[in-house]
Amino acid sequence: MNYIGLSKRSVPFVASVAALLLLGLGLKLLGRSPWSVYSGLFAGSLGSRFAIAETLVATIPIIFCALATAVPRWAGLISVGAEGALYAGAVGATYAALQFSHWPSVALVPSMLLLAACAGAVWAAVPALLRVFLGINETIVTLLGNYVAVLLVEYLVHGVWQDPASYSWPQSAAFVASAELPRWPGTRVHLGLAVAILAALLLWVLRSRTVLGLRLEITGSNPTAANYAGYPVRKYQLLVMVVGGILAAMAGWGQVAAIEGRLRSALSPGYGYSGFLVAWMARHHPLGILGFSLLLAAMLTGSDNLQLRQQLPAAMVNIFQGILLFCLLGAEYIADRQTTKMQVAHRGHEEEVPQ
Amino acid sequence: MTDTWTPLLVAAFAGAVRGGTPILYAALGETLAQRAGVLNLGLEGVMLVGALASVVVSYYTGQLFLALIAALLAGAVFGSLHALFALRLRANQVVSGLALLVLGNGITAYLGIPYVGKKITSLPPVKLAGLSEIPFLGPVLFQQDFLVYASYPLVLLIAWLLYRTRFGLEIRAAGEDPETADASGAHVLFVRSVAVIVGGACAGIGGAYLSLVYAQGWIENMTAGRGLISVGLVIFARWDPVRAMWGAYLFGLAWALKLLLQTTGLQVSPYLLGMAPYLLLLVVLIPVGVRYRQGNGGAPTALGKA
Repeated sequence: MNYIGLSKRSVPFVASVAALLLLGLGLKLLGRSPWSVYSGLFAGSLGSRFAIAETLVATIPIIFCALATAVPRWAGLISVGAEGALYAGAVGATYAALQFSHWPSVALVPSMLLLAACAGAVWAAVPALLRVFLGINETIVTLLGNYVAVLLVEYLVHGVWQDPASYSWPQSAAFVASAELPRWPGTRVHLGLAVAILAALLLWVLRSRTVLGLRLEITGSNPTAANYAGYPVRKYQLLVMVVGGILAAMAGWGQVAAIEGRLRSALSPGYGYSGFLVAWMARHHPLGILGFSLLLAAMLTGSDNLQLRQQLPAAMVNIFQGILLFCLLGAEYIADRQTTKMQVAHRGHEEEVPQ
Repeated sequence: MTDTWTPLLVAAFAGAVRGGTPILYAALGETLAQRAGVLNLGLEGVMLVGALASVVVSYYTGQLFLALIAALLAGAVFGSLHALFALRLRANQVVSGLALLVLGNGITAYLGIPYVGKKITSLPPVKLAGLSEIPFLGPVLFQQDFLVYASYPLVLLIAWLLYRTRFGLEIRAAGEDPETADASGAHVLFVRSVAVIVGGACAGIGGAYLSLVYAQGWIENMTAGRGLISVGLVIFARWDPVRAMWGAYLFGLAWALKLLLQTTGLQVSPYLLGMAPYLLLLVVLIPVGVRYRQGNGGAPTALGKA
């Protein structure tokens, strides 16, 4: 049945190409040249050493947010709260950076990481508890949290944490030098990339090589069976949500600690939603997430270039992401239908196999 | 006491009705969709598309009637996109809804750029003769505009459709037990598609209310979570149109709170006040959860399933 697996595996690639073509068609209809857009996207994302470095910088939060979507999904939950947990993590990291600014780097950097993780865990525990104990739809609550998190950051940077040095800007004071993350010389690529890759590898091992990973998968695919098998389903659901919150918080930690160097309300151009898209492209597989995060980061970075050079609005990224999600769903449908047909042919039955 | 507090209360409740009306339209449509078993998390995107469509048509033609038709059609087109993917292609309803949200957000942000800050023909307030003179209720309910007045009978119409017609029965059957509905002769895919497309059209009108009345122009991402609130409101209202109306006004009040507290001179951060609608939804969903802890919250049994 190898050929079936192959066609399923090609789904995200087919969807990406289809989405790029549709985007080009749409731009053509709006009177822009698709070719200059494609070449601008490529030049801005992979065309130079600087461009590649910037693509890697954008890859970091996307990996974290995609993992934050994938892990809850293993146990059958759909969380869209990566964006909110990213901001929560940024708040945690900022608290440490402002409070312990006199600490040396070896103590300050880990403490920022730790407080970011705690903030993300607490943030994600709210929808998790509501889901597990009251059965409230986790997708709706996590989406709500995204709005609240941005307002919380705006409240902080307009209020208690506003930079005393510049009252006109809604941002916190700049972090001390010892709070900064180590970087690849000459670029903005920071330690977060190593942490993100490490997290993906660890989660891959957890998912494919441990009993817990298998049990989570069973919980996700058949909760009734998991209940009968005596698995602590509620504990698992709480666990995956909280781990997801911690992972997304890492994205926020990276953004404030290495990119911005302070807390601002515009930390993320929607990395949480990009992460959601990547997770579904990769079918929630940690290694697949590494690859597709790079692809989407290239798209985001390339469109930044287009914005500068060709005055193409930033909104194009969301249009592309929406089209890509729909293409993904369409391609999945075609692949599933093929599989079903092949199964039917294989078994020699004439009637359609129900899904 | 009445002299100082009555005008304030009237302003608060009239503001609640105004702020609640866009949510009400979206929630009425979503009630239909969810009753038919389809969750549309993309209402936010649908509302934005409706809002922009009405701004564009109002700007070029100055005809409010055409602007409303445009919002209705734009919402229906986006609704049918959800019907195509979530129903015809049996995709995950949550993912299809999110795609709608992201796409609607992007398309309107892109196409809306030329219309930011443009003056448009907005929907004027109209006092209903006689009714508007009723003390307290008059200024709250009957010194509004055409879309508010149209929403009152729409609530009853949707309730009548759901509970008193054959089609409503088929909608509820499609949401509770699609196999049985199919066996008894209902065309489940058709019924669900109609519910989702009509739901999209309603959300489009809700968006038009925001741009034609509330903001009187186009602002990027002007729905600010109202689509999502509407989805949650349907659950809070336990899938009933009349309860959805009261719920919508409750949320309208939460939005009006910000403006209101500013006029009273209380010093509260606008960012904290801005959280009120979202936190309110979180709070009101809790008793719904507690009440139905054992079951599924009284939701249509097949909700969200392909």
